[in-house]
Order: sequence, then C-alpha cells, then structure tokens
Amino acid sequence: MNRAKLAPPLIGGLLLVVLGSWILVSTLVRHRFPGAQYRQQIGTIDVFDAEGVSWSEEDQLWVLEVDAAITSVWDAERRQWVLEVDEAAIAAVWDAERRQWVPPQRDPETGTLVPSEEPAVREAPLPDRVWQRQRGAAAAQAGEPDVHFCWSQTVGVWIAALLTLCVFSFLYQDNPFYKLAESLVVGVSAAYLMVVGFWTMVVPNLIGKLWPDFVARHVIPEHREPAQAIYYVVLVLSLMLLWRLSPRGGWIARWPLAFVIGITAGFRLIAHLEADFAIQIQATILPLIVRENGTYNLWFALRNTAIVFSVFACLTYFFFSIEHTGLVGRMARLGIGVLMITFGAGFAYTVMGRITLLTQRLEFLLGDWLRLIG
Amino acid sequence: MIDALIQLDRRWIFLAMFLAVAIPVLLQPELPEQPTPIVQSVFDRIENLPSGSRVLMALDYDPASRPELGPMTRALTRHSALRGHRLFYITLWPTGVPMIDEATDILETEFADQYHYGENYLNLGYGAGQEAAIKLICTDLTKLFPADSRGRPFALWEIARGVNSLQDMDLTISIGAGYPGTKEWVQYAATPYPAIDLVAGVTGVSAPPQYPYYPQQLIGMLPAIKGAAEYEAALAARYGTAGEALPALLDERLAELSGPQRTRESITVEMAEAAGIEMAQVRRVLDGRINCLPRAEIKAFARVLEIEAEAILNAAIQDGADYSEDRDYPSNYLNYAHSDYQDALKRMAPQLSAHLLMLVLIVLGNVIFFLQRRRGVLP
Amino acid sequence: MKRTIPIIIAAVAGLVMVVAFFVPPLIDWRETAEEWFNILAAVAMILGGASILAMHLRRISDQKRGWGFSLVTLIAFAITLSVGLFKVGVPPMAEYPDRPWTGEYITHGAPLWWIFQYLIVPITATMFSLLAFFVASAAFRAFRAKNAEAVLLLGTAFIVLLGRSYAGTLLTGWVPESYAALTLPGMTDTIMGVFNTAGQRAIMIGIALGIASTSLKILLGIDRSYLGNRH
Repeated sequence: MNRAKLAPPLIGGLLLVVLGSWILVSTLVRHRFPGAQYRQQIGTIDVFDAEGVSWSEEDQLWVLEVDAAITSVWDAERRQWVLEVDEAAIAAVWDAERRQWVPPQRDPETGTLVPSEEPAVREAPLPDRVWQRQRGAAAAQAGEPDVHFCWSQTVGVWIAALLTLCVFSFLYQDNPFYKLAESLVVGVSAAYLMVVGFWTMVVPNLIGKLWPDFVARHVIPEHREPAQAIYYVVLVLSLMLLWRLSPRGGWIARWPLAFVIGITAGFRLIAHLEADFAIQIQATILPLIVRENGTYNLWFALRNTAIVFSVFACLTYFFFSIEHTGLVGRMARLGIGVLMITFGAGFAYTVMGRITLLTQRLEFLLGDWLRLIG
Repeated sequence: MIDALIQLDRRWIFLAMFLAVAIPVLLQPELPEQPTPIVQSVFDRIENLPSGSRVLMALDYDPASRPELGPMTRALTRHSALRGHRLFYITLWPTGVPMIDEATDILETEFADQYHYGENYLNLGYGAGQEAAIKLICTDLTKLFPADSRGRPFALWEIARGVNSLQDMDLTISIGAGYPGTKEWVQYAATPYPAIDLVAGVTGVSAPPQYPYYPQQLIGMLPAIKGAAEYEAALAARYGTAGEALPALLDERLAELSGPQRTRESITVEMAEAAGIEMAQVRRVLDGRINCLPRAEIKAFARVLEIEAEAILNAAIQDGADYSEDRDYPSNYLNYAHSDYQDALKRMAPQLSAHLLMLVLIVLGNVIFFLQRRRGVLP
Repeated sequence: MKRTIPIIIAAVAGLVMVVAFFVPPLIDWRETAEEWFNILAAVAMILGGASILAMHLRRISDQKRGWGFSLVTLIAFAITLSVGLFKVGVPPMAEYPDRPWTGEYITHGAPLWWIFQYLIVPITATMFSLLAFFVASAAFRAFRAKNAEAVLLLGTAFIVLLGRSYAGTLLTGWVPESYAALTLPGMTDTIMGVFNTAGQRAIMIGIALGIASTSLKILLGIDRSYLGNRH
C-alpha cells in the first residue's frame, strides 16, 4: 500500500492514543477531568401555578390567598392591570429563604408585606418550577459554596473541542467533518440572528409601539408607551419586505428596499464628505516648519512634510484624468511607493490578527479542554 | 534541497505554524510591553476622567474577533471600574450580545461590592440599524433602546438619570471588528458632534485604516492584540502590586508560627479557616492575585492571631492599600499585574514566534525565487 | 407604480437625511426615519435567515449533491429558532416570576446560550483562525521581491512584524533613547503614523468622493440598479 495513503490513518490513530492516554492520566492521576466545567448558583426563582397563589408585585413575594384576597384593578394612568391585596384575607406568604409558607407581617420601614419568623403553614403548595440563576465558575473555584460541576457545559466544551478539530481538519484536506461543522454553523447562526432581531428590535420597537399593553402584560412588564398608529406604516413596510420570500410580486419588496437605500444614501453622502473628505484634508494641512518654545523641531517638520507630500502623491496616482508622465508621473510613482508601504503595514497587522485567533483556539484546546495549561 | 523546498507540501508549513503558536501557548513565557502614545492616550483619558463619569462601551464584534478584542474589553472595563465610572454597554452586532455579558461578569465578580446593575452599570443590548443606529442615539438614546436587555424601560434605572443621548456621555469607547464599527462611530458620532469624545479598540485587520482619524477624530486607539497588551501593561503599572496581600505585621506573625512541621502555606490556610475566611480568598492571597485584604478579613485574621486590627490596617494603608470612602474592599484590591488579568500579554509570545516564522518563510520563499531565476527556470 | 414610487421613496427619504443635516428643526423627521430604518434592518435579518432556510429546503427537495448537509443546516436552524423564539430554559424576571416570557432571551445556562457558546463560538472562531495557516503558506509561495514596489511592501511588512513584537525590542533595545525613532518599534510608529496614515487618508478621500457620487445618483434617480431588472 502507498505510504502516503497510510500516513493519515497512522497519524490520526497516534493522536487518538496520545489524547486518550492524557485524558486517562488527567482524570485518574491528576483528578482533573478534561473539559470539566463548573457553574455558580447566584439565586433561585420560584414559580407557582397553583390555585390560590398569586404574585404580589408591590411586596415582591408570592401570597397564598383566602377567598378573594387579591383582585386585579385596571390602572388607567399606568395602563396596566395592578393587583390589589386585601391584607386581612392573606393566609400566608412564601419565604424564599426558608422555602416555606409562613404567616405574613408588615415591614415597619417600607410598609410592604414580608415573611414573619413564625412557624410554617402546613398543607400549602410547593413551587411548580424552581429556576436556578447561574453564572460560569472557574475550575479553581470548585469546592466553593454554590459552585457545582455542570454536565451540560462540560459536554458543551467537549463538543466545542471536537468541532474545533473538525474545522482544523480542513487544513489536511476538505472532508465531511469540516462540511458538517460548516453546515451546522450556517443553520445555527441564521436562526440566532433571527432570534436576536425579533426579541431586541421587533418586540420592543415595533410590537411595543403598536400594542404596548400586550407587550407590557407579557414581555416587558414596565413598558409604558401609548400606542402609536403611525407604526402601522412600518409594519406594512416590514411585511412588504418579507414579501421577497414569495416567488411572485417581487416588486412589492422594492418600496421598503427603496426606503432603506434612500436613507443609507442620504446619511452616507453627508458623513463621508464630512469625516472622510473635509476633515481629512484639514488634517493634512500641516506646518512644514515646526517651531516649539522658540526652537525648531526638525523631526516634526520632517514628519509633517512626509505626510503632506505622501497624501498629495497618492492622490496624484488616483487622478486618472491626466496622463501619468513627467512630473505627474514621478509624483504618481511616489504615490505607488507610499501605497505599497501602506499595504505592507496592512499585511503585517492582518498577520498579527490571524495569529491571535489561532492562539486563542489553541488556548481553548490546550487549556479549557485538555487542561494542560492554566 | 532546493527542489525539495519547491515541492514542499503546504501542510508542512501549516505544521510549522501550528508549532510556532502551540509551543509558546504551552510554555507561557511573559514578555514585557511598553504603551505607545496612541494607547497611552486612551489610558490617560480614562484615568483622568473624574470618578463617576459616564462611559459608553460599544462592543461591536463577534466570537471570531473575540480573541483580539475581548482582552481590550476586559482591560477597559477593569480600568473604568477602578476609576469608579458609570458604564453603559451596547452592541451593534447581534453576535455581540454575549460579549457584553463577559464584560458585565467582571463587574459582578471583581467589583461586586461597588458595582450594582442599574446603579452604575447597564446593559442596553443589541441595537439594529448599523450607522442609522449610531446617528439615532447621538440625539436620542431611548428611541433605539426603549428598554435595557432585561426589559426594564431605560428611564426607570438610576444610572439613566440625566442621560438623553450619546452627547451626555463623558467618553464613548468603540471596540469594533468591522462594519459597523469604529469607522462608523467616527463618521456618525465623533465628527458631527464635538461633544462626543471617542476612543477605540480595533482588530489587526481594521487598525491601519483608522490611523488617519487619530488624533483629530479619535482621542486614542488600541490597535490589535499589541494595543491590548500595551494597555494591560499600563494597567498593571498603575494598579499592579500596590502593597502586599498580607500586610507585613500579619505576615511576620504567620512566619513566627510556621516551622518544619507547618509550612507558611499550611499555617496561612489553617489561620484563615479559623478566622472564617473563604478558601477562594485564601487561594487569591497565596497566588498573589490580590494586593490587599478587605477590611473585614484583616480584622478576622487579627482576632485569630491576637494582633490589634487597627495597627495592621494602618500598615496596609502605608503599603498602598486604598480603603478610602469607608470601603470594606480597598479600591486596589486585585493585583492587575497578575497573569490572570493579562490575556493579551499572554498572547504576545505566540505572536513573536509566529512573526519570526513568517519572516523565515518570506526569506526562504525569496531565496528559492532568486535561485530559480538564476537557473533560468523563471523569467 | 412598480418603479416610479420606489424612486420617489428613495429620493424623499434620502433628502430628509440630507436636509436635516442643514436644518436642525427637522431633527424629528430624521429621527423617525432612522427609527423606521432600524426596525426594517432587524426585519431584514429575519428575511436573511428565512432566505437561507428556503435555499436549503430547495436543495433537499431537489436532492442535490450534498443535500444531507443541508438537512443538518435545517435541523440546526429549526432547533435554534425554536429554543430562541420560545425562550426555552429562560427563567422569568425575578421581579415578575408570574410572567414566563419576561426573561432575557439569552441567559447563562439556557439552550440558546449553550448553542452560542459551544457551537457558534468554536466554529466561527476556528474558521477565521485557519487564515493564519493560509497566510503563512502564501508568504512562502507568493511574497516575492520582484521589483521596487514589492521590495517596499516586503520591507514594511518586515519592519512592522518585528516592531510590533518583542523581537523589535530585543534587536534594537540598545539604541539610546534620543535615537528611539531608529529602533524597530520607533520605525514602526513612524510607518503607521506617517506613511500608513497618508496612504490610508488618500484612499479614504477617494472612497468618500466615490460614495458621495453614488449616493447622489441614487437620490437623483440616476442609479436605479437597486430596483433589479424590469422582469
């Protein structure tokens, strides 16, 4: 069999053996499972769905009512339903720390209902759902209070590491593993963009302006804005834009598209002329003889001269309406030289950027995953 | 030899590049950095703003640029927090939302006692519209961000008092990877509105095109990972080891107690446990991640070691600990010269070896080229 | 109606932006137009996602070569969209636990957060890092000092690559402070602050003029390419 054909499976097998051995050594000898992730619990949110249990926004706790302790009243000024609590009818409030229903008492300072120190009330419902609020924790924090091993994130790091290797495998040659990673990221990213666009812009800035009560009731509780009928125009424009997906009536999407193109052209016209034209010319009008505190500064004079002539030379090169011969030709050639220096600097900075990206990926593989560093 | 090099499979070059980066990543050598004027001007600007100034950070980048820009975000967040500035975070990139969470995590962990959401920092989340978004917030912030990322109307937060537009910020920081990014912030915010002061942090690819804006339209800039490393060096020089994690008096007492049976480390752990100090804090003391202990912990240590707490506190203040404004935690609590806070500086060693490899490859390629030309293979 | 009205819309919208620059009382008009623009930009994101979905659906239905990968894209898309739009695994706001939709759509530990951290981050970051390898290969194969211009480009790249790493300090650290401009970092600063600034500035001025003329053509209805062809 051809040596070249044998090499990839041999190298791959060797890598797998080294990797497997390291994972075993790390787990059994160093007691550090590669890729182990931890999370820190920073609080819980209890949710009740039981009959007779309501959330009091004013007191910021769950109350267990008797008969009609809580009624909803429409607050015309705030434009939302507010809960009115008949204190005498409340049987118990949920003490989130003791995780029990206890008789309520009134806080003398704030005037709100708070759990009392009294014994728990029996036969009361337990939360239907307890949400854990969490943040990431470093492996070094393992063993600290509220820091727990996290399976989902550990699996995540392993998947991320394998996907990283899938992408790196492209360096050997194009292969199905790379294509798999590529297809995955296309689907996930497209959906992610849609989700972000929907929740951060469409909901508060469009639906929130058209149906503020609905948004306040379900998504942004403190959303207080009157309904603005003018936004129906934006809604119609948005739907027209989405019409592009339809195989027929392509012209319908042209209206919102024209609006977007027109606005873009309008602000770009001004911004580019101001920031990239006028001010750049102003910034190039520099003194060629620099005098500071009564003495001549030769270095700054040279720098300024170089800037002024370099800009002028480059612009001469860009000026194609006249033939590049004689003095103009020499200036243009000087301009090409300056541009080459510019591109050389750009190349070096690009290299720097790409190497940083590679460095971080290797830090991830060798550190976060294999725990060889850090 | 030359023929072998001409025929060289590019995968050998890939392997060389992999090793040039992987070896320094594994060995983690530390290389010193000095801030250049363009970076120093960003540092000076944040340093010289009065405490409590409003700073808006636009984190316009995605995971692909995070290795370069993440360290900048972290260093600028830390510096602003050390100076006590009020921070507003936004992003014009949908994929930038989790980048904001990384920055606010720093405030919630390293500055937990001083920074409270809505009081002195706020996450406004993503704003669509690219340049139009920038233009809009220059005159009215709430038209783009009616609510923060948690869904509470902007105006209801304490930090929002007196803030109507970007012009009410004392400084705007654009950390950008492309479009929309620093260029758009210059064009649509800093240039037309003289009240908007702008500094930037940019990737290697987009750094050279921003130079013409400095210093007229951009006060300063962190170009690429090198800029971030220089900033971390400046931060370490200013907020690095200001004192000792354990003030001298405490340290001496612990030294007296240690001996052949009990090492300094074990006695410190033992005493800290007796004083009821968290293990995480003890670990920070031992590995030098903090400059000086919080007041309460010094008192706890003093109680166990039977020394007068006031004497230790005074000694710590003399060492440079800043317990001003009746803070429990000194303002220079964490040691920013520690490698945990220097992601960019750590990435400069792989830069060095990879740059050298690049130069070797260019030289080698040219040697082959000229040899081939001499042989008459190439015109 | 199919072509004239869009041209009028583009001209009026663009002129509002231009005129508002010179007539500050028109700021309200400008802000309204920008607000609408931003919403449409978000809708365009949704449209973009939907277009990708439609394209892959077509590839699957036609059973084109590699349609299995389109299926992977589609499944990944469907899962991400459902967990994101329905805020799966997202706790409600602590102040409003009775309203399940009030939480942040991307919360630490929730499925959308997991997808971002462990799928989007590693794949996109690694894809861009591949360029480090290709740029090295290109440096070996294509970077030739063939003429004076190429020598200038190569020379600058050499100085900047050395000057922007510790090599610059190591090689020229011995140069006295008063001649700092002659060290590799000093030369790099000069290249960036003088020649790069000048070159980039000239490019910037050229592009600005180009954009100004294209924008004017759109506003005056001369450039209608954005309308597509007549059919």
